[in-house]
Amino acid sequence: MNFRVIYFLIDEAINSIKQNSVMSFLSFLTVTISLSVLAMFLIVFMNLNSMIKSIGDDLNISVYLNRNISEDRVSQVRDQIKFIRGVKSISIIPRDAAWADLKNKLQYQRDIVELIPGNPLPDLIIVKLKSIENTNSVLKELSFIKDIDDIRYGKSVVNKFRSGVKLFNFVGGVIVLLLLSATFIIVASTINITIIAKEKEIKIMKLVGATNSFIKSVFVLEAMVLGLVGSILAVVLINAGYFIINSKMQQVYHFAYVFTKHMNIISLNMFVIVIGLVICLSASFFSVNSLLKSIIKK
Amino acid sequence: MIRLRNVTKTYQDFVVLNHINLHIAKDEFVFLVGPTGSGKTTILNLLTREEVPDAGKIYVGMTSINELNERQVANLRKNIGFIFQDFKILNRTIYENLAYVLKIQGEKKQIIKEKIDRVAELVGFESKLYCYPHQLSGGEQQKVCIARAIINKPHVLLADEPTGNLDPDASLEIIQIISKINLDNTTVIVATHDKAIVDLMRKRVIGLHGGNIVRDQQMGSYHEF
Repeated sequence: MNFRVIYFLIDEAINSIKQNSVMSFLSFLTVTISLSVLAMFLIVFMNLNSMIKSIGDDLNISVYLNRNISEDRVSQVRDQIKFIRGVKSISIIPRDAAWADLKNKLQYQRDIVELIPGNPLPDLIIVKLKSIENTNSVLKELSFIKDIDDIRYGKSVVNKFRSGVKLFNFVGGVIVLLLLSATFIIVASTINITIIAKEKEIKIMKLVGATNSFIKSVFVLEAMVLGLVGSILAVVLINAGYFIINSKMQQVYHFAYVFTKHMNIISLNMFVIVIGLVICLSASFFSVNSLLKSIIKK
Repeated sequence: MIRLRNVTKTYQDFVVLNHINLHIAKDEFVFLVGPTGSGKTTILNLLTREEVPDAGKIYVGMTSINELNERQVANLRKNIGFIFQDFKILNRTIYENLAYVLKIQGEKKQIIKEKIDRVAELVGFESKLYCYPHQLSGGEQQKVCIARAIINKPHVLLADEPTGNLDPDASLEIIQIISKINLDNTTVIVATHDKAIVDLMRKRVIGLHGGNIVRDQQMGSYHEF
């Protein structure tokens, strides 16, 4: 196939889109809308997940030791915790320092403090994790260490946040799946209509020596143009929308930097274009294989 | 040039061609006549490999076309021109209709122009090249169809009822053009119901009936005497 034939095929695909303008416009529209929604969903998905990660990174486990253990034992427990896999760092708040601090804070309620006999506070070891994913394994290891009285961490907050994100991912996934299916169906219908409208051309192409794969390539190329233009429009929309919303958010909420921190917009753009092409190409293969066979055999 | 040996073709239980044997020499002009359903169009479709026979062998030149693969079929069709009764002209200018065939084959612009000028002169519509099909009469549209069929100088020209939609004058003009192409070393096979044309031309006539060859006459007429 020389470059003149490729030029001819592209020219035919563009002419066909022009001739079949209503269906082509609908195809562009659905490709653009569904890919834009997919991209928006991905942006929110990636940011929520990175937020979970950020929160998880800041999550500490507070380990309260028994009050009646010696300083040597406290040091031993501290060393045991330090070498647990998944632990990033630890810090100790000795019971005496914690008690002095509390008394200092409660200096206006000195009467109450003096009613308490001795130091009621335990030694506290604050464990910082490498990742929130290590929480369960670290908790399990901690449960094997003697002289630990109590363990506390922000489990409920993180779990609630996680289940919210899971729900969001599920609903978003279903919406995106429905939109991509609609795109598939509309592009396949557009190609079907083109094939039926081009019955005469197909007959002529066949009789002048065009192979079946050549004839198929005319329609596959048309779908590629639909996919490419639709996804480029989606990319333009996504980028414009993303930067406008992001800059507005940063003016209002300074913490909004989170929404750009983990985003790789170029990868997202590439992903959207590839998905657009894959959907349109698979739709065209579906149409071409089912409908073109019967027309070619006529 | 073309040989059919013991060719049988059936559609479901209906026998369209029944053990047909036929030989058409190079540069011959042959009319296929017979009632509807006698197998005329099926013979043309077998020659372009749109259909394959249930039994028997078909040769175009020295090649048996029964066992050709897709690419070889495509090459076979490049050497066969086909004229339809219903023209099958695209809704583009006549120049674009003719160029379409050549663009599929990846021809250069200059070659396309030269070939179009040649066939336009041969069939006589140089002044109509930039008209659209709806601006042409039936006869002129059939001329376009002929020009498209011969643009690659095929060895064989097949015509299925080429005058079926035309008035007598236009029919005569079309058959004269086809005859001219035949004189230019092209084997021509015309399937027709057009009695006047067959009787006028006095070429070889092969009569078909019920899937059988019932007569084969040199300088024949539409009806057997």
